[in-house]
Amino acid sequence: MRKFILLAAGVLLSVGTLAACVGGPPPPPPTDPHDVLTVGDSVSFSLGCALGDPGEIAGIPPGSCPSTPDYSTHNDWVGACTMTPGTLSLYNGGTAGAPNCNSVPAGSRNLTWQDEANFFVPRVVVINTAGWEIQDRFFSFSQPPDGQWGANNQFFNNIAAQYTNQLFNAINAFRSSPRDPVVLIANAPYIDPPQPLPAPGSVPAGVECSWWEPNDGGPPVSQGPDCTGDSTPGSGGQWRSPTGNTSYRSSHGKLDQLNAMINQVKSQYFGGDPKVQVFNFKKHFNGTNNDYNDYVCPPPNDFNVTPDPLTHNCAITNPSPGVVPAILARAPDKGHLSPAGTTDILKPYLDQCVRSKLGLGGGVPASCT
Amino acid sequence: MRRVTARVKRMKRTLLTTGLLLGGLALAACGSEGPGVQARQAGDTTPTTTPETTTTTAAPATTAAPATTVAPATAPAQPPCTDEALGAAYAPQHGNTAALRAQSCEGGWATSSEGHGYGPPTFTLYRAEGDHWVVVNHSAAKLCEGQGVPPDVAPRIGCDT
Repeated sequence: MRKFILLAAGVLLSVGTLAACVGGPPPPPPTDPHDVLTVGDSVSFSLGCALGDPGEIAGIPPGSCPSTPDYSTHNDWVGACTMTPGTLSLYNGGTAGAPNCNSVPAGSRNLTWQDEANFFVPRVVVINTAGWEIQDRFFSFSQPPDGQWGANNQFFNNIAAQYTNQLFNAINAFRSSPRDPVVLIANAPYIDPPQPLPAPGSVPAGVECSWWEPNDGGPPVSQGPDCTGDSTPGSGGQWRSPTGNTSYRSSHGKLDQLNAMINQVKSQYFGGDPKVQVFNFKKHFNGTNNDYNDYVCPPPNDFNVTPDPLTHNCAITNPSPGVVPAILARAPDKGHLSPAGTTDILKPYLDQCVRSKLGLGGGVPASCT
Repeated sequence: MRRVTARVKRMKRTLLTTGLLLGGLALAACGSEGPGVQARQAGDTTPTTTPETTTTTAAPATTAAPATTVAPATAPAQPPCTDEALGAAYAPQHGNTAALRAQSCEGGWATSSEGHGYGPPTFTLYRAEGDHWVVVNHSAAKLCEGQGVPPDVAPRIGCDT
């Protein structure tokens, strides 16, 4: 009898242990929790980089961005990413389906923003799209393009409605993700590309010289050396209508409208939700003249001191009276940020803002605004 | 009688050992994982990135050229600040210079930007050595920190500090 009891005990122990291994409900979907998720286009790269992660960028190792040792970030930038659907009217005269990174799987993991939120389960999300967002596009295939920022007509109403709808959906998707994250929508500083982009040879044939959103009040001449105003390789040549039936509208005016729509989405749909906020990206790069600037005075004087146009020096009084060199804040393409723009201008504010949302030391809520 | 008792004791030991072995084997099987994702936990502050690496291709800050060989910020003589002059230093290490653009040059230091289609640009830091430039670092945003760029020069060439 004792033999039987002992043998039975051993067998039961084995079976019980194995049952614990293989039984029960299916495992939850895999996650890779990060405190912060940044999404958007190639300019949004700088937002994620300022928070510590370069994402996937050719030939650049993970340590290429400032470190943020007490919180983790996943930078999910996707080049030319937009939220607005439709078909882009390319500057080179072609058309291309809009790369809707929020609703169509994108990036190397081929995920939508909702998928990203469920996988990285962030506590803070930062959204930024702009450069390709403001390009003319077709929602129907009528001519001229029936989506136009910078206009003041039905074409503007069409594209503004599509954009705000998608931004609303994206915010809702992130807000409903597992860790109830704060959503920061970064507005857009002005840009002043001196020529159409991308350069021939850097992208597949047919999409070179396909984007040009100058800041100038009137149609400028391409400064090259990659693309002419006619989207051929080289320099020179004035801006011309890609479709032959649109007027010139500067990116300055387009971005004013886009930024106004961001504010409208916040106030109209998320006015009572303190976890949805606009991060004032443009404030730190548009300077005292509220325009595109290569040089910006270092924080905390970036938005209230004007650099001398010749010496690029800043006469400051804060934190103490003196003269300091202004920072060359933008890349030569006059759209992306320089390393100094990312690290020495954007990072101090964005880091303090994000810290305040994560409840970490050094957080400054006012740095968000 | 004693022989019977001894046999019973031996049997007990054998059965106990067998039971424990079976249990142990089952536990061992349970503990051996197949391939899977190691999820980070909420609040885990360990960076997910691999330890920092560097693409520094010239001497690091600690072995930077002596100050006497670095042109002062006001020095007028330095190699040309052109795509071609910077590209000549860049090409042997990083290849294609078709989308390389000079950003700024001052005080014997220079930066360039390299376009990558629809992606963000990368950046390269150079130091003047005689009549030519040499690559010091190639990166995204953490380009100049610790590379010995004088503090009055760094902001003017778009260098992080």
